[in-house]
Amino acid sequence: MRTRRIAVVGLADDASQAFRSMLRILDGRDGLSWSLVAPDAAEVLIAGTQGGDALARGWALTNKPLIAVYEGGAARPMTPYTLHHPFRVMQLLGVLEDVDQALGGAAPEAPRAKAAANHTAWNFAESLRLLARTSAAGNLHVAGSGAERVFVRDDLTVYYASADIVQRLSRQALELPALTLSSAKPPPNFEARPVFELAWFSGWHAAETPAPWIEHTATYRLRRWPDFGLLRGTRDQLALAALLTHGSYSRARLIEVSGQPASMVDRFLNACAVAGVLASTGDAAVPAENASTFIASSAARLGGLIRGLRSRLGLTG
Amino acid sequence: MSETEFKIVFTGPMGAGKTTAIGAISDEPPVSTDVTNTDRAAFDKAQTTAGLDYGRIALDDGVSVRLYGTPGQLRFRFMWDILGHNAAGVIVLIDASQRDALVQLDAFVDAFGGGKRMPIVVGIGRSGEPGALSLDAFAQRLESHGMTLPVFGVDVRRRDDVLLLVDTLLCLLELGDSGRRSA
Repeated sequence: MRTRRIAVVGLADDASQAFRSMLRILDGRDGLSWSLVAPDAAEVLIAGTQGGDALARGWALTNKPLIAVYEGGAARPMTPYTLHHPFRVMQLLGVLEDVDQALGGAAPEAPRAKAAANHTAWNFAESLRLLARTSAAGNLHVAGSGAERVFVRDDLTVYYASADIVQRLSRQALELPALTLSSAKPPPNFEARPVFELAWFSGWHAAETPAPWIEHTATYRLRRWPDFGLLRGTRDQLALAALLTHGSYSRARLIEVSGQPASMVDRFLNACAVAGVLASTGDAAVPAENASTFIASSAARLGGLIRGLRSRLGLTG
Repeated sequence: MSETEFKIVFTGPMGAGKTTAIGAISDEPPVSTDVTNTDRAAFDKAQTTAGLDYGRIALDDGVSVRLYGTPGQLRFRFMWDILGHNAAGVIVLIDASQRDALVQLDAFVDAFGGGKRMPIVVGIGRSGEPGALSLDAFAQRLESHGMTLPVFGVDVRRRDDVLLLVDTLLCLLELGDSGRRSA
């Protein structure tokens, strides 16, 4: 029986009690036991926003995998592991399995080391990912200087930037340094925009090769579709999202099945990872549980009809 | 689907933009069976669709893509089943500013099989209005039911937004189609 150590920080009483009850139900499942410990001794944290600044500072910016619990109409934290309270026991199991895989699965005493984002192309994106793991204290973090600054609220609801920055964001890498805590306020002419947009394009433009945290041997799926209404997604991105929400793929397998260039697939995986919608499944070629089967007539005719419809509607590319 | 027709259904509550969306891509102005809206307390709209909307996109070789908009009121639910029969896919349009928008999402997605019988794409309108639910709320709602459907913020008065919904539906159809061919 393997054992992992998990701590509860900043959860409301009802969420904490529910979690502890569910943990007892899941104890020993698949040969894995979760032991409740103090935060300092934990390998994994499950955290909410209760408890105030003193508690938040105690675990903010930790490198431990963090399961962020949010409630009501609060925005989903942009971090790989989240649970919306009230959550079900199978939802908790899924997240715990993801975290266990990320820590190396069968080797709890030697968690898989995540390489620090040394490459300057990833400084900003990595700091944004880390910000997703801190407490939401209502603080602003800033990157850049002067009119080239970007402000991000630590609850990851909005970012503030000039209209020029917002326009350039979708077209090119902004080459921003890492975010740092700041007492400065955004200038009045800065626009408030959804953080998902900033995270997506930061990940998309950072590099045409896999991000430091993308494992070549891992398999991935999407937790949810990116909002392509906001992002103005391309056909290639729609196709990749369709694949990754209906199955789990390694990077290599995704390149093969999609027929898209490696650079496109890498950009897509990077963007999804920074935006917090990519999940590692750790098991190659396992169809997603909710994979759908669609009813249609002749396959050959459908393909021709879809091409004809796209052509008729002007959906090129 | 028959050999010469391909059907896309637009569904959602009254006022979500079904008629507008069909009109954005149909070859001709959609045929709408409108009547006076007698429920002005619930929705301030002069007319509403009592039967259905119908539009058409003619392709080469006599093939037609038929666009159907379901009536939005629950009392016409029997028509959703009829229109959904043999549909290639469904586009669900929801107004985020409506108080019961999440309940509406549940109802319409569930009525068309939750994405298991045919692909479903969800378009959320008015998400930027004061007091409207965030897009995240709708995605989270679907996740809590074990569904990972495309959920996009759209304005169906913009043709490009309607085309995004349709193109996503087509990508999902291609995925299901390629899966069958490789099986």
